Amino acid sequence: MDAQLKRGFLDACVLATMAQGESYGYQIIKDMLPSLDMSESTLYPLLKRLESKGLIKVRKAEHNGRLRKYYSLTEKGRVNLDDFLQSKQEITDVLVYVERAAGLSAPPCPPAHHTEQA
Amino acid sequence: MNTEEYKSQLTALLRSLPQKEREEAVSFYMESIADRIDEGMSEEEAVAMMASPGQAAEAIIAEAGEKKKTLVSFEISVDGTDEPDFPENIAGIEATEDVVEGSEAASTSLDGFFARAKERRFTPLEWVVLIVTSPLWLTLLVAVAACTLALAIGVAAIVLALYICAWTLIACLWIIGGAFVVSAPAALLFVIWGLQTGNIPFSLVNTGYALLLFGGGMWVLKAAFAVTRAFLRWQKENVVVRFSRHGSNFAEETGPVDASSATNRLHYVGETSMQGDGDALKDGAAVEVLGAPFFRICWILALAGLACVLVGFLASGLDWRVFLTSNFSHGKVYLGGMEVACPEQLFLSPWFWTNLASS
Repeated sequence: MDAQLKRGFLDACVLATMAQGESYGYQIIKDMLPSLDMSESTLYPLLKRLESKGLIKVRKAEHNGRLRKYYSLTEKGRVNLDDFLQSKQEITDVLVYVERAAGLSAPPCPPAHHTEQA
Repeated sequence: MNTEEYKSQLTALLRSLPQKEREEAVSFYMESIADRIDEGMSEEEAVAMMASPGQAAEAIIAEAGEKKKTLVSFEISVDGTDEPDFPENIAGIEATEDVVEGSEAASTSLDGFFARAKERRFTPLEWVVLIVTSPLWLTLLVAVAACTLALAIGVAAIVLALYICAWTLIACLWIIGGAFVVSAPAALLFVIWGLQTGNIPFSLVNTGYALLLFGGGMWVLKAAFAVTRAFLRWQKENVVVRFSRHGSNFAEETGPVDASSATNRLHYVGETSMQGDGDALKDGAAVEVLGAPFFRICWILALAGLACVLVGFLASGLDWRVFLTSNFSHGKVYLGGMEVACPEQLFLSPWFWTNLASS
């Protein structure tokens, strides 16, 4: 996936890995979609940014005689993730438009209408 | 590469970051290596799975907004490593772009200023304002003021010491002159004792002493007066005027005095031999005092006193003991080297008072 395009999804993907519970750095990388090609060099700045925005929180816990950092969603992070999911239709519309404009598929019939979700 | 090597290289590349931030970032990467090892990888395999220290540092520093620091420090970082083109890559990494875009968007607001402050990216005008308004100037100002004050106090102390010395010397002149004049009557008492004991040379010598002490003492007092007056004038012209903001007014006030001073100076040069006494003797008022009849009489008295001393010495048959006043030896009293038979008869002498008290 293109780096610029991938970048827009990374925040949501990382937040999503924590949606089921707290996780740690290497685990997040493993849980990530392989197509996103996540590495520590991508993850560390991203986690720092999410933490500074208050979307995730960090705690340290002992593991195998060493300290490990565990990351979990904050309420604000959960809201942020929900907001992202509400953009699903818009993202789909963009993809459909690009596909159609490029002549890769027939125009949808009837045309898709954007509907606000509750 | 093993874990320690990876850690040391990453730490070295991150040295431009604050220690806490650096340790936090390094521990994140170390934690990932440890997690991989826990999964069953060898240490070398785990390290190989990681991004190179250069790439890792690139991402971390970009996130911290420390791109400039890195560009400076990179050239002197770890040698002999197979790092990628680290500095050149920095401009293209995602996190850096993020920061720059965010900064530009906010550049017109106060938040934008603080964002750029965090990145140490300021406009030239902001740099000028930051430098000019830096609290460091206040510290420097205080230091300069303290040094100046210390210097001023030091100079003032030296000037004050010299001033006190000058006045002490002047006071000494007054004391010496005064002592000479006051001693003259005492010498007259010895004249009386010489007459009482029939020691005429002794009386003549002490008469000379009295005249010399009085005449000379008055001249010393005159010189003290002249020096005092000259010093006060010098002080007024060179100290008071320089520290005064009304110099022109003062010049008007002192103008006539200076003119008379010049006239009197010419008068003095032709009249006296004491030309080496500097400012005091160039003073017009001093010349005026010098020419007064009283001091001419004093001058004559001093010369007469000198003559008396010489005559007394000749009259004694050049006996140097005539210059002695009185001494007490082996229960006997001597005046001018001659024994006094009845010291209790000497007018107002210690023996006179002792005898008077006992009778």
